[in-house]
Amino acid sequence: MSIISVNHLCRDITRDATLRQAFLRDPKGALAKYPRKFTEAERTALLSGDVGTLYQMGVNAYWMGYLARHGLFGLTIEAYSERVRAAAGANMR
Amino acid sequence: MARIVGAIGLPHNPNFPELAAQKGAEWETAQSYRRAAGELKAMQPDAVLIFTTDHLNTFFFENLPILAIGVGEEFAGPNDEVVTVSRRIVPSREAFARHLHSNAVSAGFDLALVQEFEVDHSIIVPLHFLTPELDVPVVPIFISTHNPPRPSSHRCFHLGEAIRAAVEGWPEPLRVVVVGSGSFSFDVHGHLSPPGRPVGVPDPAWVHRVYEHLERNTISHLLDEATPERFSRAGNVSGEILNWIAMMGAMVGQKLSWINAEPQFGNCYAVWR
Repeated sequence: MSIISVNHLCRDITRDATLRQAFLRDPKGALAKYPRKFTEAERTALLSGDVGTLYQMGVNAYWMGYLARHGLFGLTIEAYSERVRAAAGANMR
Repeated sequence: MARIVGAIGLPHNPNFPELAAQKGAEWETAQSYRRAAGELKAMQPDAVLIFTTDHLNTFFFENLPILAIGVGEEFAGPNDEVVTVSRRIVPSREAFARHLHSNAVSAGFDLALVQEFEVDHSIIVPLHFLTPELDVPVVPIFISTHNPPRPSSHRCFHLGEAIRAAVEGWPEPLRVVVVGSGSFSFDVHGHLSPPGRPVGVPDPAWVHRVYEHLERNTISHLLDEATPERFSRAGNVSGEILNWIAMMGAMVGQKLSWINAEPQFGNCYAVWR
């Protein structure tokens, strides 16, 4: 599916400070304006900071981590770490 | 003819230029890079061939070549953020690179052709320390080592052999130094990073193991052990050792002259001459 859109978003918010500010101000509105298609599952996961689900969907971790570094979607480094580790643990069970 | 006169393996952590500026010349990592730079200078290179891995800055998922070569008179970088390092133009050798491309494809290694490209920290960080004046032309060969499926260790070693043969088929008497860049155990934003941390070194035992193989020249064992299963434990960028393995395939009997491990960073530094 369109997981590539999430990968693009993660890189774009790192490269483009204006876009990043828009996402920090109004995540839902900025996501609606972002010129790529997302599945409902991706949109829900992004807006709730559910990086564990995105990780299981196969998002590239190298770029996804910047969501947490920039504090997008309510993420902190700690919350990001916890969710990604839990998602991997769930996969391994 | 052109020939490979030496090889250098080293990492490219993007925060190292900033840390080097903060910590000064006595910092162990700065000393390792300085040692490698001194050895490179002594080899009097006419060109550097660097095997490295793009971090989805030169390429992206629309088109992600497993193997690729940059062909041009120059390229720019970094196209990602490397604190304290500004964007610069790196000289290359277009005709030589085109020859390597053509010969590698003839030998069965289908390198993607990359022109008018920019590069990220995976090339600029090594050059920042090795050739800060950017006075040696650089030809980059990109190996996709982060996003599975990766090429196998044996495939990468044979790629190095094919590149060496292509170098030796170039009529000008160029002195070529081959560089392999990457970490042996490192995880970036993945589940193998320590709790609460964005990055980490999940498998220091693997760093030590690789160090032993390099020191004892037991490369066939290294090839057998550098597997997807090992990478799944050593961190999501640990496949970067494949860049070192390609470099080793390109060597022509050079002996290890110096090696230093920094297991706390998941890295080694080594020179063969």
